[in-house]
Amino acid sequence: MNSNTRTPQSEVSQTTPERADNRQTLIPLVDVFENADELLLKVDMPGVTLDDVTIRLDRNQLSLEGVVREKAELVFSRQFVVPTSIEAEKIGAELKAGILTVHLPKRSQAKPRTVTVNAA
Amino acid sequence: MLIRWNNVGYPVDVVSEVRRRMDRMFDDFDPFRGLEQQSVFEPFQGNFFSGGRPTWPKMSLTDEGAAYVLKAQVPGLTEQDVQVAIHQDVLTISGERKGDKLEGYTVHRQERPALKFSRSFTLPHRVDADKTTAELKNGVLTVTLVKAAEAQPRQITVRG
Repeated sequence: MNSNTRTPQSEVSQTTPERADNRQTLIPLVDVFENADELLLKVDMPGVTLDDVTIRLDRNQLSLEGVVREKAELVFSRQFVVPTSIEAEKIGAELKAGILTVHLPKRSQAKPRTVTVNAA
Repeated sequence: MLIRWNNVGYPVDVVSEVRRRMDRMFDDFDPFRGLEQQSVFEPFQGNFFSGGRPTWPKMSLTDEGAAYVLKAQVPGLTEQDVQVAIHQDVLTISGERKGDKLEGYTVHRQERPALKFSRSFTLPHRVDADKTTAELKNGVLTVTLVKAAEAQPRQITVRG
């Protein structure tokens, strides 16, 4: 399925090479934090507004993309492999002053639990 | 026939030389070359601050005719964190980026540490400091440097 979706894209880029010249891809800088409840990513995406952010989780592959639409398009793009225990439906994100913050909540069984041991 | 001064020889060459040097600076600053994808837990392998050269923030300078426009990528910075100074034909952008420290979180990867920066550029022409404006929006600093009167592009009417 992947190869099917890729083919038309490469045809498009061949017929419109001037578009490719106007597009620059950058790998954004990222900080990664973790606590008991979530993984938290801070991603530098200067110039990007919320409408132009795409966050995708495909199994354990996390893709982050932000586009700055100016005379030349600037694309911030980065991929990470994340634990499968991330709860995809509950991923949240905010964008402020060009910094994208992504919250990746862990499934409850992945969280550490305190087990009380009772005396016999 | 109209001639725009900034389209003739010397001034443009100076600007493209400045731009070439800035571009080269960006090429040197590429710790991710060859990096495809990695685990979020993998420690960061690149070397950001080698060579002792100022490499942050990334900047671009364009000649818009009546003005030079400098754009700097400064995500997270506020108006209080960045200073813009002009001394004769030298433009200096300086400031401080505060690193993110989150209470109760373990740090797995830190590519955005706290740092102080200062970058200076010699402009091809003097600019009018009074007309210079600086704006910070969505983490991008835009400085518009209006050229001094003698460097303004002029249109000369050719009479028949």
